[in-house]
Amino acid sequence: MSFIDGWRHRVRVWLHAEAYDREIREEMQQHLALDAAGRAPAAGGTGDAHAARRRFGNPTYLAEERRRVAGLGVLDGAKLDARHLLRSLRNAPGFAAVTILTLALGIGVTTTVVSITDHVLYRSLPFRDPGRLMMMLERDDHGGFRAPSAPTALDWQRDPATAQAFEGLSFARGDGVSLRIGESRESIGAAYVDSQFFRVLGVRPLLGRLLLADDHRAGAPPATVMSFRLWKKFYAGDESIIGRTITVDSSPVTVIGVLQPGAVYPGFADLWSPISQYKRQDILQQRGLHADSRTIARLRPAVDSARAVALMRPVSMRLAEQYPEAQKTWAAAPFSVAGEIIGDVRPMLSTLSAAALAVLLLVCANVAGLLLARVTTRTRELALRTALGASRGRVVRQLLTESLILTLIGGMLGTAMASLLLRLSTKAIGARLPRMDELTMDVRGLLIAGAATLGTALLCGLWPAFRATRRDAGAGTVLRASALGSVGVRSESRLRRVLVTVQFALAVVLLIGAGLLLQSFRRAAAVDVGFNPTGVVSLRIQTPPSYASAEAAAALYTRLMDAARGVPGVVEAGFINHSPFSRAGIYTTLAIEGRSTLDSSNQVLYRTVSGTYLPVMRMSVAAGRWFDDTDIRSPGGSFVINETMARRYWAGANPVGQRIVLTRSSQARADFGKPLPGSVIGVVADVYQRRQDVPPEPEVYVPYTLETWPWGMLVVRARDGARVIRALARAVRSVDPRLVAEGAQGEKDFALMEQTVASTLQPRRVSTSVVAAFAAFALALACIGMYGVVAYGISQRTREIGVRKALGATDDAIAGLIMRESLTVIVLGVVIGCAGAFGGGRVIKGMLFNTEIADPWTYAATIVVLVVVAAVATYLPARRAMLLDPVIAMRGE
Amino acid sequence: MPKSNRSELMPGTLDMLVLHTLTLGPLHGYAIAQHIERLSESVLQVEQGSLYPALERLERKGWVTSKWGESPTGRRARYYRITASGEKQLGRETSEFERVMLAINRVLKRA
Repeated sequence: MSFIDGWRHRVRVWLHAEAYDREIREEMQQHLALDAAGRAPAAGGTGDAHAARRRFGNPTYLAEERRRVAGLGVLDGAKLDARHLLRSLRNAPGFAAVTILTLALGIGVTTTVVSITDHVLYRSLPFRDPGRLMMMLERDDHGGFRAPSAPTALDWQRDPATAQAFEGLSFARGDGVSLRIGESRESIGAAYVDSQFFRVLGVRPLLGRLLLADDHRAGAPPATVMSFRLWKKFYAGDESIIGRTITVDSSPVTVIGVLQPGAVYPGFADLWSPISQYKRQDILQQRGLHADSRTIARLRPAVDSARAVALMRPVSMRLAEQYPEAQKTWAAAPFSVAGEIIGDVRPMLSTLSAAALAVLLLVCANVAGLLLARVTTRTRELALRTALGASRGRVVRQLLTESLILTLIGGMLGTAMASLLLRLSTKAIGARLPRMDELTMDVRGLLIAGAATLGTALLCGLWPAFRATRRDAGAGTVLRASALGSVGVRSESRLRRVLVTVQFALAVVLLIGAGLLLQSFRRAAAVDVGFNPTGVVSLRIQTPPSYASAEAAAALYTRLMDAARGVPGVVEAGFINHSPFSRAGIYTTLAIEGRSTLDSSNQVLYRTVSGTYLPVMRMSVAAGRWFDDTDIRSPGGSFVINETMARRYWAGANPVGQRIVLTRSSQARADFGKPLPGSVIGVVADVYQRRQDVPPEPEVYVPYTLETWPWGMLVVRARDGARVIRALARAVRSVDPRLVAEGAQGEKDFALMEQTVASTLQPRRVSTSVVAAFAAFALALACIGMYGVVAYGISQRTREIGVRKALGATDDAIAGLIMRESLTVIVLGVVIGCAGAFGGGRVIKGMLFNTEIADPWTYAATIVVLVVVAAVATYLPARRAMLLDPVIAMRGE
Repeated sequence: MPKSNRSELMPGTLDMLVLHTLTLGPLHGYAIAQHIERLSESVLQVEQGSLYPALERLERKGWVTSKWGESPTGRRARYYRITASGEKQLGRETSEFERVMLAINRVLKRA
């Protein structure tokens, strides 16, 4: 095995380089000694060490030769390079620090953004080919949406046209169930799915198996599949869960599988059971609105979502004919599941990706400029070394080592920075995305950024090195040229100007981007949400099974409000089914008496509230009146609507007193879908429902006694929200201890409305501050670049300036001369940057709020900031030129 | 000994000679040099020191391994030993060398 023997030797030499060096010398000494002794006159030799030396050859040369063969020469060179490098970097600490920090930032930022984007787009969705997984909705002629009902989904499944668009289509019915864990009961979400579900979803079990056709058979023993998070939370990840029986809603169910981490769809589900196990089979017969159900479908490979809409149109038309009341005007509309889950964050990701790309480009331009400047100032040194016999390879290698070491240190710092940034990002956006706790650094991001910067560093380090060491007159010219003090290397200085222009352009792009985002953020944050969130505390109420009837639930809510009112510091307490900004909501179908054009397509947000809800939230009444005690005590069909609803359905006219018909919308109740007639008694000012940057939708309020929601939110106004939480927790427990856990755990269930509202702007806040930080950094780098170019230009023209001054040029004239040149760079940078920002503005369009891409104020402010800062960066070195003593300047270097 | 009677080595032959010498058994550098000189009756003039870069080269190729040991006179010395692949290489080089020598002889005889 010659290969192995040879490498064993090489490795030994490398590992023990110094010892091996000694061995080589020892061996040769020994040889000489033996030779001298062996050829002593007595042994017939010529006798002296001198002759031995002659026979042996030049030991120094031969030892060197052997070291070269052994590969020790390379190590020597590297050691020398390193020593040289450290010395030269110590002489230029500013250069080293700026280069390393710049590289670290570029690498850190790019790695972070690539890691997050990759994770969110590809790994946060553990479904097979998530791009083709669709959530099916129905869209009406007026742009409203609804989830298809079970009969509709079944009709779709049966229609052969569906198979042309989709590989499979499946229906899942959501429900809240109680799971017995030891002595306590936990409210969790469950999904009752048809036999196609897991195949369409494209998930694999982590443990056990998925539901099979057998489990779906009527009369089959009840089986369920569990989510990873539920398994971890309540069963401590115990693998013996498979085959175990758990108690769901008081009946035994066998666990047959656990899904992969993060594999959760619909988002509320923790258990998946066959739809035959669903206890409300009657709901599955109802055609029309189905809020808590999901229909999913998987696109065929060659079909896109637009094609699927077209293919499904005849299917929907057939259904509309067959069931005019429930299906008229409704057409199948597929939406990407990926979009449903990560849609919120996508504009933020594209904004951050664009900003990171700009930063990476800027870092490359900056490092290129820095290295060029460095090599240019060292042209003479390099030429001298070449003239003194350093091989071209040797000089090039020295420069290469320098670029490499700088990039390496920058890379290490960048990696550290990326891991820090990733931890921060997990905190900042973790709650909005699935599996963010599994976010890890993406090696590919590191490689991309590392390769980009290293490539730049090598290119910029090497190109001038080749120039400086060119054999044809290169060295001589450079030496002579610098001796004469004339301009050294014109093309380098031109290139550096171009690089600074590029940096200014990128800084402008980032500044404008940051400006637009800041404008949007300010405008979004300044939006009057229509209520006063300060001092409001909310608690989600999950009713235990004993409150299943509407009467019991209503009594519970009344007692909860009374208990809360008794807490010192509490001003008022109210109740609502889904509070604004809670990311939950339900629609009801609206009909207006005397208007035949209205059909099932009119969906308005449906809030069932206590009379105290308005004062708790401090909303204002725009017309008519809010509910009084009589409306609440004996609910007889009085409704309050919001301004948007008034505008949409009674444009200009007064809606107060108008007769409308709503639909009971809680599917947990037997009277689901029954009409709810009544009249509008008042109009309240709009309340923002989702986020400050999403305009309010039509909304109707009904007394909670009229339709009592099976669960909901207790909202409490206090003088100081945070301080009443502990006492509130006690008060709620006194009503029913199952509602809030003991101790600090239970206090965590309370949310401060102010924080809830603010948190919806969190992605916007994060991207705005990140882009702003990038922009500030970009501006600083561009200015450093500018300063360097101007200072270098002056140093090259010292004599010229001296001559001009001697000839009587004023300080102003000299400064003007220098400023004029940088003006070109600034103006070009601004023009290119503005064009780039305008062209690339589409990328951040999703993040803009009430702000145009071409917002003139942002552009104007950016240009002013940039010109002022750039002028300062130019003026500082230019002042040095003004103060130059002409005599000294003319004497030369 | 007149200078004209001594010959420079043909390039590459030193490696072959070293490998051949080592087929006798493990030897240190000085012994290898002596052996070559003695066998060639001093016709082949090796600059003895050039043996060492050659040994390094052979060792890197894995044809030779070395180990520090004790010489019969009690000195510490580095002993070189030919490996199995070294012997194979020797065979290849020897036959190649013979082929070349044959060709040269043929040319010289014809001339």
